[in-house]
Amino acid sequence: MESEKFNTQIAEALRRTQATPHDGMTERFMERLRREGLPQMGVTHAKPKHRHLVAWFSGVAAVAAVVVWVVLLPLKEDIPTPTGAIVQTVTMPAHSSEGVSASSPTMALANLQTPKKVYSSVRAGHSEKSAQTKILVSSEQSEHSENLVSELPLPSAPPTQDAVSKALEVSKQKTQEAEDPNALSYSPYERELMAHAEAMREVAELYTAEVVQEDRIAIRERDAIQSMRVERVADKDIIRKI
Amino acid sequence: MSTNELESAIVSAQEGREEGYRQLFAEFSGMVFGLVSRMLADEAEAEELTQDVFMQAFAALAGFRSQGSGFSAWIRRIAYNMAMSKLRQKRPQLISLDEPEYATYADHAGVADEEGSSEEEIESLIAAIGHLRQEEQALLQLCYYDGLSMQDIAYITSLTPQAVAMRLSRIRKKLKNQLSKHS
Repeated sequence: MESEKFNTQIAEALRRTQATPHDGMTERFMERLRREGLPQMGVTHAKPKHRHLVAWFSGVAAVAAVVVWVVLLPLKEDIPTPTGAIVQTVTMPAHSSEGVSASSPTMALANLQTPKKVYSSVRAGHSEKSAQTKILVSSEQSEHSENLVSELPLPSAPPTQDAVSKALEVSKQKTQEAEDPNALSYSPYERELMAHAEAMREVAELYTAEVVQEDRIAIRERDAIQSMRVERVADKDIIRKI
Repeated sequence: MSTNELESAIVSAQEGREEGYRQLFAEFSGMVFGLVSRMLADEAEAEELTQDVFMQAFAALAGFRSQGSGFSAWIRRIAYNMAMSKLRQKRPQLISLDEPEYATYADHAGVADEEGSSEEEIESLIAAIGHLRQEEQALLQLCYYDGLSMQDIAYITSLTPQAVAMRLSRIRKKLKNQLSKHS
């Protein structure tokens, strides 16, 4: 009994809060149906011109994603060791292409930061002229090692058989050490690079999502303009008749 | 609209005649609008979605096998799915951690007479329903306002009838708890 009363009360509460459509909804729908026609099932409603635009943006996003990965994957294998790292200071503009000063392989590393910085600065509305990025510095050690090697005297006689076999043995040992799975743990620098790569991938995804969103907005605006044009034409007809 | 009229309207729309589309929209748009506006809580958005629902439904009408009253469940199912999809696209709504306000019932329950108390209960119930999740409100709408069977609701919401019954039972319990807490 109490349950039935409660059911009735729920129904009454729903009835009182039930929204009713505004007048003329059927006419508005019929007008839209005439204007747009029925959508093709499973096919986007975009017009051919827009489809090209969508395809173009998707292509750009896909290329950006591929570039990010193609640049990042080799970097993982060629990560500079602490003793062999190269110093590079790169000046990168946030909004323009001027002033990029890097010509070594580390330029690739510097480029990794460019899209993200540009994207974040655009998003945040910042207008700073440029952003500087310093990449790991240990050139002094590198130069010192090169000097030491160049100062060594050249051998006066060819190496003996024993020396060659010993050198081969040492080389083999080093190769085995390199293949040791325990030696595969990533250094902090490598981890930092990988985190950076992940962040770049997320930025690319975000960019793709924004492109899709902008396309939707463009479609809506186009529809609105078409609708306004139809109304204007209708108004003109009415005026002519008057 | 009788079953025969409905069937002829469906056939007419399947043949692409405007009159068929018009009849079906005029007959079922109010029902669809009621459901989606309950879920979206925005009438302008609800009208746009109602039109989208019918566009989709008419585009897929060729695949619909007419069985009279089956059309209303079919269109409700499309509406429910599209509204759910719209809700998923939206960002999660901010929910106040403060206690919801049921002052209407709490303030007057002690002094109102039998009739007034019932009125206050309904007011309070309206507020409590407003605090339910949108899909819960939709279930209430389908069951208590539209008076559909568990089978039909299960078809519309892609749940099993048992799951529908279970959810409705929980919703009722939730409403009762909220009302008793503030009475």
